[in-house]
Amino acid sequence: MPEAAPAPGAAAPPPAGATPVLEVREVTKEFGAFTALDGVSLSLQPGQALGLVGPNGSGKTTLINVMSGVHAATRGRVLLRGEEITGLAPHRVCRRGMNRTFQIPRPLGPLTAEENVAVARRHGRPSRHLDVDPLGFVGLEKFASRPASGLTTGQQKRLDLARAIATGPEVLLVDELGAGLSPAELEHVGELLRGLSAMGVALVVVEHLLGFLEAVVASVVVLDAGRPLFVGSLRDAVADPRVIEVFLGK
Amino acid sequence: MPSPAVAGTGAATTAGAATPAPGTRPGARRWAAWAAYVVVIPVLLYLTPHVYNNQLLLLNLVVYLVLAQGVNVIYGFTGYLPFGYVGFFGAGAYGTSMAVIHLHTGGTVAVLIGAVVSTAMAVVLLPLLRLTGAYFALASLAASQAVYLVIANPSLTSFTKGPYGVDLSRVFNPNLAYLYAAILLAVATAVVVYLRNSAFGLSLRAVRADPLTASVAGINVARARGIAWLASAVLAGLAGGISAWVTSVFYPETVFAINISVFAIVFALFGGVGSVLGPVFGGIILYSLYEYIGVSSPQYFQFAYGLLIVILMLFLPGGLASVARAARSLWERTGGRVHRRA
Amino acid sequence: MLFGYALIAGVLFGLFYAFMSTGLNLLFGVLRLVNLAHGDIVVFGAYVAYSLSSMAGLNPLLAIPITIVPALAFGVLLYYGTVPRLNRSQDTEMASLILFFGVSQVLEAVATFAYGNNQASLSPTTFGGPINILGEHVPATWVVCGLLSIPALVVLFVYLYRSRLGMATRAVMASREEAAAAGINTRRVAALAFGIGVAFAAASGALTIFMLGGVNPSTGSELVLTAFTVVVIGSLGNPIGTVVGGLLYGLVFTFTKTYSPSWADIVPYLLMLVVLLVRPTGILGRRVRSA
Repeated sequence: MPEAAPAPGAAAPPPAGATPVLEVREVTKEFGAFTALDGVSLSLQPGQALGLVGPNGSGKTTLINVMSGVHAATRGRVLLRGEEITGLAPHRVCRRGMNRTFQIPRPLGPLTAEENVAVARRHGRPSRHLDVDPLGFVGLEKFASRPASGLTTGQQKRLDLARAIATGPEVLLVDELGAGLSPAELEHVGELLRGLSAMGVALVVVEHLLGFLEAVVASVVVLDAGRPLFVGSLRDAVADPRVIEVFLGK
Repeated sequence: MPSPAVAGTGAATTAGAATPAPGTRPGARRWAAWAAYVVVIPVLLYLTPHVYNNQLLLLNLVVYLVLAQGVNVIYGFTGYLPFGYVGFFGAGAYGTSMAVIHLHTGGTVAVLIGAVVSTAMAVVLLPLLRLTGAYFALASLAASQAVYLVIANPSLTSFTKGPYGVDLSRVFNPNLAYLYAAILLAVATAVVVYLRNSAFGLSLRAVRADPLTASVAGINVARARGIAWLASAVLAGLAGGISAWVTSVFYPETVFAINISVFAIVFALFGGVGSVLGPVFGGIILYSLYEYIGVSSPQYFQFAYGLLIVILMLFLPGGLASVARAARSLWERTGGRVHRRA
Repeated sequence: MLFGYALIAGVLFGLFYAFMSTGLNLLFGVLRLVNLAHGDIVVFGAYVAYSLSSMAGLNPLLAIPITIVPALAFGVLLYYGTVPRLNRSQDTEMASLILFFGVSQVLEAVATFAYGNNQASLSPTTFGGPINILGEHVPATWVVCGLLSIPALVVLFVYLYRSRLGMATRAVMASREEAAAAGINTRRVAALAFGIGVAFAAASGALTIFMLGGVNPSTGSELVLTAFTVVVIGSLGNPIGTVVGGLLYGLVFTFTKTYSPSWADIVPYLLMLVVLLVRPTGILGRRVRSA
């Protein structure tokens, strides 16, 4: 567990009363009889890094899907920079400045790594591109001409991140980027996320790996069975008895 | 490391020097190559009647090449297989015919009106693009059959001349039609060149690879597919119009025959879907074969192309183009030393 | 009375269509394989029935038991010969569609070599004169074929819901990976399901020649589209759905033929389009396949 890294997002606290860059208001998502999300709300300040945790099946990926437009919320609203984006298709959400990675990477297989990025760059927000070369940022420059299907899972996850960055997002939703990575890779992507935070990109980080999370975010939202269980600092969360119960059982 | 070459039915891959790196401007050499792809074969075909004077057969060939390129546009770049592609062809044919018969236009305007009709049909059928794979293929077949049955229905005879046939001999002009056909082939090939080398074409390939990822990357998936669909419909409509113009007398069954879709698809598959000239070469080879043995004994031809499809799908999904690519990369790797060894 | 006739005929046709389509449902629903040769296999069965009757003077319905084993074997071999390679492609569903389309063309050509292009039909009085059902006179052949479809569908149910192989098949249908993890030899189960689907198709052929008034080599293409419509209406993968879909299709078919014959041909295609665009999950609603 890296100790020296300062809690990101807390370095420059936003002025009181600032409009949250991302707001989720009472979002409910039902799949037929199954309620995946039940009245979830969260608020993200510009440049903040927020963790999203919970046991398997608690609705974390569903929330990411609703925020990014992959699923339409049954009830509730999602606002980006105060503007309504509820129910917008993913490509429109992308163009408004929010993007996401996938828990299980879904690269554009037959396309090369640089084509994967080029496609995203073309359709992102033209007015605000992060001043980095996405492939270089994630360390895949050497694989630029390699078809994405020929990359390892860890490389595909980094390519997914590069693709998301290429759209110039103001908010990035990261879905279990750490899963399946070696300790060295974990360290690397942790650095990448902290780098993004430093550039002012707001992050929502879904993660199971506590150590990884500690290096990237200061506050978390804990979900349990689609409901928000706890909102607050990560340190308080791990000490909270309800949270412990939900993760470790009674 | 998994081999990326097992790409199924020949999706447009970035093989060798085929596509420039994204974001760079193509040089003069590339433009020259593209111009060659687009122009050379149509010009050669246009001049062929001087040495082989069955212009009607050549026109049919060119029409099939256009249709194969149309299939290439929609299947090669979106992965949607239009089993009912002949519907656009027939719509174009009938649009042209109605223009000649009821609006008394000349041939050229009539053909353009035919394209408008086929495009309108494509717009009406846009919702089909919500379906995937097999559902889309069969739904497009159902749609084209439905259109055929409406046109052939005796109750509409006064308008469409129904099952009794259409007669366009008033505007008969085979030489002009052949010129248009050659130009249309050049246009169709140009569309494919554009798709292979443009950002829009890259978007289409992205959509084909994974629609969800493409959507999250900012691509309007429905719009991208829709544009490719309309483009393929325009090509088929113009081909149908030109064909109707030249054939002069035909019945609904002639221009809505499912075999027309089948041939276009087989030609495109055999030549290599997703490549620029694959469908053209595939079409020339197979159509010549058809004229040679297929017309007199169609069931032998059916057996042969059925078997060809099976073999292609099992062993050579990329068609002739994949053979050409493999040969070229072998040549590049041996650096041309194959000859010097002797 | 036209209505009564259309109703009774509709039920008989519906049962027949359900039987005819059930093989496709197995392949498409369980294995995601689009067997466009399905219709031609049905036609093959019809030709066997035709040959038995017109050349050997035997009861054409004997074709049903006769074709089962060869069709099963053919299906299993076809599976092993093609599907492993298909599974390696980028889009297995489309690759299977095209490949089996090729197979269908080969089968149609072979049928043309063997029987020529003409319609092959058997006498509508093969089983006697018209039968009086509830006051309507219905051809005996339709009654026999419609009723014979019932035990065939029962066999399907027994296979899928009462046998170990059927349970394994349903497991593979639900999730191939999980079925494999549970120790099921998914490839063998799939191959057998394929063979069974082909066997059902061939067996329904004998009935087809009576219900359709005859077959020719190109009948297969119309049949596969019909089978597809039935399967889609009834919800993919659901055998009860195939029965419901078949009945619905049969009734629509007979009612339009009775009341508006000149537009009757277009109805199956419109029906398919409407179902796919309005409710692609079918009547029993599961398994959406949309982009």
